[in-house]
Order: sequence, then structure tokens, then C-alpha cells
Amino acid sequence: MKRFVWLPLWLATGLVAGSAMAQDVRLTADRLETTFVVNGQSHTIARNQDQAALLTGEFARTARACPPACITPVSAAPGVATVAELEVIAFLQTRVSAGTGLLLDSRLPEFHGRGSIPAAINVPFATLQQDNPYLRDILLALGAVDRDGTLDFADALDLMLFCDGAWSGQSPRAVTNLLAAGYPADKLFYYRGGMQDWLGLGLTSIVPGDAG
Amino acid sequence: MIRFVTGLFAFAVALCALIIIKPFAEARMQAAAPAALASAGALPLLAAGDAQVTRANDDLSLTPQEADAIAAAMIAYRESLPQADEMAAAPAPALAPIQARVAAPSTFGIGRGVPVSERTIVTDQTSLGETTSAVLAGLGLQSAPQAAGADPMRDMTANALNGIRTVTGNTAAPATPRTALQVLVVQALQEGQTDSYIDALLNEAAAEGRISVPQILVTADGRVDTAVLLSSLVAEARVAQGGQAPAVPDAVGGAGVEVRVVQTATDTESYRFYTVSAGDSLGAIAVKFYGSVTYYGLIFDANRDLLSSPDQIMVGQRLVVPDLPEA
Repeated sequence: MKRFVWLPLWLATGLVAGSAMAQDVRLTADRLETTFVVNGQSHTIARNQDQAALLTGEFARTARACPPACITPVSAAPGVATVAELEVIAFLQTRVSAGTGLLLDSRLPEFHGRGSIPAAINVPFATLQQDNPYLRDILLALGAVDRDGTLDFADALDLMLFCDGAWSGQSPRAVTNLLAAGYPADKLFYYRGGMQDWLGLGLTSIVPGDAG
Repeated sequence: MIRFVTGLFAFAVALCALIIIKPFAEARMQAAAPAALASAGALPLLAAGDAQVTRANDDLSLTPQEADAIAAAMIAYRESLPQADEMAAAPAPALAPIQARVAAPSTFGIGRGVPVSERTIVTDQTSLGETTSAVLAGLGLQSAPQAAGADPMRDMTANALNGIRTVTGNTAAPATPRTALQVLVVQALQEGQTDSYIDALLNEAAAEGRISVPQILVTADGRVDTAVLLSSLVAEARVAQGGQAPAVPDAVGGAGVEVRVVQTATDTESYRFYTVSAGDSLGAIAVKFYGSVTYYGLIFDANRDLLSSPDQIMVGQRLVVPDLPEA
């Protein structure tokens, strides 16, 4: 729980100090950070300014038993685009803040609770399985419309899904389950790098609930 | 090394032997158990009474006053919120054909005598208690408190829904998820539909795979036991309003019930058995013997050798019905 708290704290101190000294760890050459507003709440994504920082804890591990932690293919499913960090940030800035898209953390609540990407919503892969009797409520909340018993996804939200990273099959499973439920592939995006790559680049993570 | 390999081989042989012998052993035990009981000095078998066990419409153990009270509460709810609840406001085109079909009076005995066919009813892990609570909540009525964390899937879904709504800003809808079954029942009750209509509605939806139901509501002939669902709803509403929980029936008789009294040197034990007939669900058998579905697990646990899951009950199975533990 505690190990992710340092990230935003460091970033906060880094930003204060940053006004005085030069910023060296940028998102891209021309961009230091990104700020966007989701439903009235402002989020900022930047990188850790401590150039000596190393990964610690769970995401410093390089060896996990496979199965289950096997390397996933680059594509989650035909027609579902795979994206990386800049596309995630752009997605948050444009579609999520415009209310036409959602960034979904497909991990189980316990893992989401330890740290996630700002503005990500926890929709665990298990809740998208056919055996969840409440699946329909989730699909309706995602913008599906009930037309005489069948769901119409024409106005459903664009979804970008991630999990722990390239060694986790959770978001690919969520993608598969959404497709099986009728969600259009062109509304789905797969951030394969997940938390592993996000933290590996020192990008801002938050502990949900502490986000203020 | 050689010792290890030999040991491994011996273990494999033992495992194979176990796999081959076990099913026969189980079959033998099942066949032997009742016989053993009978030969263990069984005294007079109490002949089963001849009371009717038909499970017709009027078998809901609902007095007209109770039914009226609940119907009144439902109607009051509907009138108080004509537009707010999307389900009450929405037209129900899918229901019209069913209504035409059940215009003629139908009973719960429809499936009686039909040979056991392949099961098409999809079950889920929700308990009947969760279902009744959700339906009562959907009707705006109080329900008895449910143990928190009883259904992790429901909790996870509720959290996911709340999360989605913080972003989409759509906070109008209640964040309590409902199964398709719960949605259908709430809708039908709000429309003031009859029990037989709801029974036909649920069975049609279940046959088409549109709803999944709690396992204890699946009858031996593969239907949805609407009677138990509705009577549980009434019982829970009654308890929530400070009423008495259903009493345990004193003596249970009727077709399929057997009581065997076994006298040993120190004790007199009585064993109850029930032979499943078409139209019986595990929930219905629990209501019959214990007055409520709450204790269905006792019957299920005592018959694990026959029942792989609570929805797998078959016509002709002879189930042990344990006595309720002393309070």
C-alpha cells in the first residue's frame, strides 16, 4: 500500500523544486507534463524527476511463474488497437475528459487499490465474464442501450484497458469478454505495457481514494 | 534415485487403482446405505400421510391479506414514482406475447409428468436471499439485512459501476447491480402481474437463456421454481417489517416423505427421506421440511453423494432430510 505513496509525493516536491531548477525528465522533448480534467477533477501526469530512482517492490520483479504470468501477444484481439503511454495520455486528455471514453484498470480491486493510473476506473476482468449475473448493468453503464432485449453499442464509450503489464492476461481477458458481450472492437484499446511500463517510465501513479 | 523412481511408480499404480475402484465403491455404498439402515433393526416405518403435495398456485402459503398488503405497497411505490424508475416507465413490448400466451389460467404444475429432458436453465452463484433482497430494494421496500461481502461479484460490480459513474457523471441510476432475473421480477411485480404470469415469464426467459437463476430454484424437471421465489419474497418482506420468520412445520407428510425410526440400545433416531418428484426444487424441499429456504444447505450437504450441485436434483432421487439442529 505504502510503496506507491512516495511517487506522487516525490513528484509534488519535484514540481515545487522544478520552478527553481531545470526540468530534465520530460514526457516528450516539447512537453513536461499533461493536465486534464475529468468530470470536474483535475489530474496531472508527469515523470519522476529523480534521475537516480529505481523501481522497488512488486514491479521490480522480473521473474514470475508462467503460467499464469505468461508473456502476452502484442494484440489482444483482431480489430483492437494496442497502444502505449503517449496514446494513453492522449486518450485521457481527449476522450476521457470529453466523456466519450474510459480508461479501465482490469485488475482485481486489491491490486488497483495499491496504485493505478490517474483517472483510471477499476472494472475487474472478472466482472466482465459471462458468469457475472450483473454484467448487463456494467454494459449499460458503459453506454450500451437496451433495444428490445438486445444491447446496442453504437453510442457506447471508447474503452482503453490495462492491467499489470505484458506478463498479465487480465486485460486481454477483459477485452475478449467485452467482445463476446457484443462490444465493438473499434471502441476497444489495449495498453499492453500496463502498470509495469507506466511505473518503469516514472509516470504519475495514484493510490485511488487519496487522489484528493 | 532408484528408490525415488520406484516410490513414484508405486504411487502411480496406487492412484490408478484408486481411480478404477472408487466409482464402483461409491455406487455400492449408495446402494447399500438404505438397505443397511433398514436391516439395522428398523422399527415400524411411519407410513407417509396421504396429504396432497401438489404445488399449485394457491400453495404459496400467502394469506390473502398478506398478498394484498404487499401488492398495495408495490402499487403505492409505482404510483409514487411514475417516471423516476426507468423500468416502471418503460413499455414492455417483450411481455405482450407472453401475456397472450398465459391468458388461459396456468398452474405451476405445467411441467408435471414431463420426462426429465436436458437442462437448459442457466444458474448463477447468487443466493436466493440476495435475489429477494434486490427485488425488494427494487420495489422500494425494506429487506432484511444481508451479510456484507456475501457476494464478491456483486460488490466488485457495484464498485465498478460507482467508478464508471464518477466519470460519466451519470449518478441517477442506483449503483446496486441487479441480475436480469431481478429486473424481470421487479418489473412484473410493479405491473401487478399474477403469480402464474410471472411463472410463465420467468420460465420463458430461462428457457431462452436470458436469465440465470439461483441454483436452489431449479426444479427436477428443469423449470424455475417461481413459487418458492415469490413465497421467499413475501417471507422476507414480512420479517423486514418486524414479522415472524416462517415457523418450522411440526410434522411433514405427503407423497414422497418417508420416516424411518431406528432404535439402538441407547437411542431412538428417526431419519427422514424424501423422494424427488417433478416440480421439486431444493428450495421447495427446504420450505416443505424447514419452513424456509434458509436451511437448504443441510439437505444439500447430507446428499452430496447424489447431488453434484443444488440445481442437479432429479426425479426419483431419494434424499436424506436431516433434522434442524437444536437452537
